[in-house]
Amino acid sequence: MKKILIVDDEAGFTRLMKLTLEKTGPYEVTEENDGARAWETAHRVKPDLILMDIVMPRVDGGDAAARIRKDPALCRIPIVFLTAIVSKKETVPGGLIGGFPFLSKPVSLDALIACINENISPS
Amino acid sequence: MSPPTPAGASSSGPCRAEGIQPESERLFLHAILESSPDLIYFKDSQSRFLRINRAMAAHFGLKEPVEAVGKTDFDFYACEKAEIMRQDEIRIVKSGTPMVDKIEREERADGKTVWVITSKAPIFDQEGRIVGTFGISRDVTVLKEMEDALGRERNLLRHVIDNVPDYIFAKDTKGRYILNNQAHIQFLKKKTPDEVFGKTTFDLFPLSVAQRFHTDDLAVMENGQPILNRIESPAPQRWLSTTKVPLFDPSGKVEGLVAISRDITEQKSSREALETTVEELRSLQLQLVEAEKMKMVGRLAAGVAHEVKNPLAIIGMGLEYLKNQPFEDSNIPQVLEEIASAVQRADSVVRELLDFSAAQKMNLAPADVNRIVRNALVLVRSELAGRKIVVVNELASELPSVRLDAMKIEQALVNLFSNAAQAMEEGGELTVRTSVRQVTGIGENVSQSDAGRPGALLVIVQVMDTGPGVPEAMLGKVFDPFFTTKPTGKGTGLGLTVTKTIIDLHGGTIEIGNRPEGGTCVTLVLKADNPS
Repeated sequence: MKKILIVDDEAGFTRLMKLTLEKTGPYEVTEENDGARAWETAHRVKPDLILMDIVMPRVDGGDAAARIRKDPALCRIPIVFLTAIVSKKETVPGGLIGGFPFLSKPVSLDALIACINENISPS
Repeated sequence: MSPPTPAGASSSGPCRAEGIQPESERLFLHAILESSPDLIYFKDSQSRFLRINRAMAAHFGLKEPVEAVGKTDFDFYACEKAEIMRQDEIRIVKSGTPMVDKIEREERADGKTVWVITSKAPIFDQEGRIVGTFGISRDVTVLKEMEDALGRERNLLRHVIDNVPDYIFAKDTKGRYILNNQAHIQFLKKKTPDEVFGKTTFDLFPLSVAQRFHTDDLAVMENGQPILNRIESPAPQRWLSTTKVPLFDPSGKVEGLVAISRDITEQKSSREALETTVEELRSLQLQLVEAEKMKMVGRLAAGVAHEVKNPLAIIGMGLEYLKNQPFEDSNIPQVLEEIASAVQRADSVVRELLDFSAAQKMNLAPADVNRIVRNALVLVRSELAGRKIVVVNELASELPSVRLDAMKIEQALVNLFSNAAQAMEEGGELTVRTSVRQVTGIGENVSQSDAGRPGALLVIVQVMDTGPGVPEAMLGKVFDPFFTTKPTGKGTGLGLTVTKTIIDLHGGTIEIGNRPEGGTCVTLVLKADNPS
């Protein structure tokens, strides 16, 4: 079972992601709706992959990702951004935001699974 | 005044031939002596007065002419003056040659200076011997003063003509120079007036220039109307403002022309420089305003994207979850498909909006438009091939470089090619033509940022399709955001808006029209790099 942490202030979105992913594959999904708590939740859960929203109140996805990257205990966890604010030009395959891979919302389940498989830490 | 006839010859002169009696002659002489306003005298060989007329008596302050008999000029004039007169008379008596029209200055007793013109001649006796002199003097002070005034005026005029920096010249009806001031002589690269006098413009200028000048000269002389402030270029990078007016003789006939010409090269250059600066400032201001506008649009687009895409993401994920559920109603998969398609549409509108706002940052560098056209064609290759569209490539062999943001121009072209492709669902021809044009005059249409300065180079890109064209009534709206002729769901209506924004940011123009043979033609005009 792969552990995925999803950080997004949209509770409705995280809930549906959890339902869909857990139903689709061998995933155990943890939801976190507060960017400021992303780091401590990551510490607690030790996920194999983090899906991180960018635009969030209090602490945005960029800062949360940077804090996790700086933590020696968490720095190896792959992070994929999930964002609503990208233009067509930026969504070329293999595109990066700040060095991180990203997915543009809304995302299809196929693209999501492909991206997870590509980036998730091997057990 | 002709020299007086010698006294000895008079009796057999023309008067006798006309049958005039000696009595009449005496009357005539009397009339002259009594009434002539000129001073008339007769003297013996010793310069003693034999007879003076009434005017001369008055001149001497005598009551009667007879009072002067036996006296000399020494009795009436200053010694020095009287001596000069005596010497004149001695010379006449000795030589028998008359003295004609001698102009002399006289200081009168009242301090007034007068000018007198005098002629003197010998008097002969019956044997032809010189027995004395006679003379006539006339006060020509008024004429002399007029002449002096004219001379002064002429000198002043010449001084003015030669000292103004403008070129002044006059020509006769044959176009020959009859007057040139110093400035004009220097302008013609000559040293003296003689080197120019009598020459024509054809002797001094290249044929094409001379012909233009000559045409104006003829017009002025034939119509009798001046040409005012004609701007003309006698040589490359040299500009003159010339006024030519006809010269009339006293009878009103045109006898030539006079012209004044000013070198305005410097004013013209500084004016052009100023105009360029103003244009550049205007263009910069436009770009700043545009950038500010785009910044706002960008913020708005980001906000809209966030607020719309998150709910779309929730709907999308919900659909993904539902898709794998068993349904009792067999229509449910189709309903879910419709919802998914609607989510896609909404998503692509928001993405286009983000694209549109992304046009704000310009990364300008000199570039080859042909290369960008080729790149953009590669990007739409599959879209064109899928519709069986043939690309007709009419790219200019060489184009001047254009300062532009290659990525943005490429995006603008991709949008145009995509539009053209979508207009030809059943296949057709996409023609892409590039060309270069030099601005020749006023009225060239290159947006606010370029007044179409003569000499500037423009690069033109034309994209033509063989689709159905755009209804005439809608041509004016095609660049408006969200305007589209495509069926709902087939286009966002932002493609041409994005394209126009990009071209505007480059200070270029974009125009769309229907081709007479069918289909549309979009014309982009971009300013080429100024080599200087």
